[in-house]
Amino acid sequence: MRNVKPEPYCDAVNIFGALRESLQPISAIETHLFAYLSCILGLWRGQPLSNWGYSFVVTSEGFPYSADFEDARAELVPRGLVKVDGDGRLLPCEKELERERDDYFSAERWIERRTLSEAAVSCALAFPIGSVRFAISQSPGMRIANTLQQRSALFSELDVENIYNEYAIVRDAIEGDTNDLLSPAVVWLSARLLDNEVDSAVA
Amino acid sequence: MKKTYVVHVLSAFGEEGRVAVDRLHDGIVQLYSFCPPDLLKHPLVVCSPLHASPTEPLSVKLGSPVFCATAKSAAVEVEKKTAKSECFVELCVDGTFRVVSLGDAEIDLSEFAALSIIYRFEHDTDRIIFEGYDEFVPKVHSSLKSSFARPTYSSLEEVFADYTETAANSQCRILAPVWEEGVDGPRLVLVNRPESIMRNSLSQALSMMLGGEASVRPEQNVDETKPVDIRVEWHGSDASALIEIKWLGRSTAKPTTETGSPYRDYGVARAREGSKQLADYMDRNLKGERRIKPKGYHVVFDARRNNIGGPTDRVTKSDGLHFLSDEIEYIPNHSEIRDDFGPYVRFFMRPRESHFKAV
Repeated sequence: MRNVKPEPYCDAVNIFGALRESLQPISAIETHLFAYLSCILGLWRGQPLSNWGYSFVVTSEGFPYSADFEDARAELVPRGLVKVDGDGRLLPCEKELERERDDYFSAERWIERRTLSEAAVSCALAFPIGSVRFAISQSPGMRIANTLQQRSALFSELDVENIYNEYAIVRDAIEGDTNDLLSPAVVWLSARLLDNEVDSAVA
Repeated sequence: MKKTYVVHVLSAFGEEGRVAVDRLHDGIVQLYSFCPPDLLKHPLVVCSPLHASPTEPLSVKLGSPVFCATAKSAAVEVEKKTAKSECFVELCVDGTFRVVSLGDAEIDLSEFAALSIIYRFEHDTDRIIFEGYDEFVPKVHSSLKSSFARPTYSSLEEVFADYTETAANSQCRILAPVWEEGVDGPRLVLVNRPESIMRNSLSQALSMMLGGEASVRPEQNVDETKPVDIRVEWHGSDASALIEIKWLGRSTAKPTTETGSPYRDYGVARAREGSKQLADYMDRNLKGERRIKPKGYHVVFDARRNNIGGPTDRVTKSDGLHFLSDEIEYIPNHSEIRDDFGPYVRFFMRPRESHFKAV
């Protein structure tokens, strides 16, 4: 294997492994979206950002992007875990991904990351992928960078504080199981999509 | 903030509910990728059981369900059945589908709501039903027929609506050179053979506004046997559209004889001829690799003026805007009589008001 970091590689394996039929094939940029959402869910779970293992920037086109994650994601193709179709879109090889997970990522710390990736992919099923992209583009840090149409680093101290604050509001509103990540994630995304209708029943 | 249905499902059914709602989302999105909601003539019900065995599906209570191993084959059944009546799809835990037509019978969804998460699509609304819960899902975007479908034809029609203003004022940089005397002139006479300019301008607008959802390809319009100017293919869906462009009004032309006119004039007959050509082509056109036959759209750039002369002449306001609201009557109206023909589109291209002649 080329020199890729284990954290983004683990996330890439988990994200492709969690893709349901309706999300396949997927574009490379969409996988970065899920990696970024996984990281936000990790913050909600109390994971320090410094432990995440890789960082993100927002591109001038308004997508979250991680160079480390891109290296890891690209590595899945020559390793036979992901196929590329005629349009350059990506298809998971389910059995091979499962085997990779069993071989390398069965320890506790990796299983926690798998939960985050699966929740990120799961809540994306509740909305069209374009809407998820839009909702994430309105999240703390992303919104300002998108307005300025500039490439910039994500997760400044202020961004992280805003993400924690928003999670506190969502968690109080749903009064749900604190281990459940899917509910707050769906509420968080819906609130952005239905900005003017936050008092309505959403999703 | 009221709770989302996902929150309700999880608090009511726990992990079993999460699995069922995940399966429901995945199933609906898959079905719509092969059979967009635009094609549904009657309501669709999709049911994701909490714990039914595939050997004893809930749908047997409604008749004899058709077994479908894949979403693609289920979508074929759905399209067929919803052409006549409401249709019920059960998403089995083994990933297979059961499809049953409900005929004229009124079904009591509450019987199923105790055992499953139910989705119902009717009149462009999404509704989620399970025990103790029955709510409509707010739309995430007004252009979407359903919040669970990747936007296809409805988004295309919305782009046409948005582009109307661009074409009216020739605002797009690609479209600007379509006028003799340029976009800052009176905008009365089009340049010789303006089709490719119009095609490139509309293609660019479609590419930008459909975002990454679809690929937009300008095509070479060879002759009337292949009148397609732009092909749109949505990713993750079998939906595709063929767009044919015609222009009306006066353009400059290369005279073929010494006494020939230096202009070419096209009126309503040209639009009707285009409509017929597209309909004929749609009749001949094979599906290609996609399961769903493409939908045809006939688009007219309307630059007609009354009492028009040359490119630098002036017209009165009343002559310049004479055809502003003159919708073209198509006989036959293919968009009304066939399913694979979208609504007719007309972009009226306005003259420059500052060049109007005083009455």
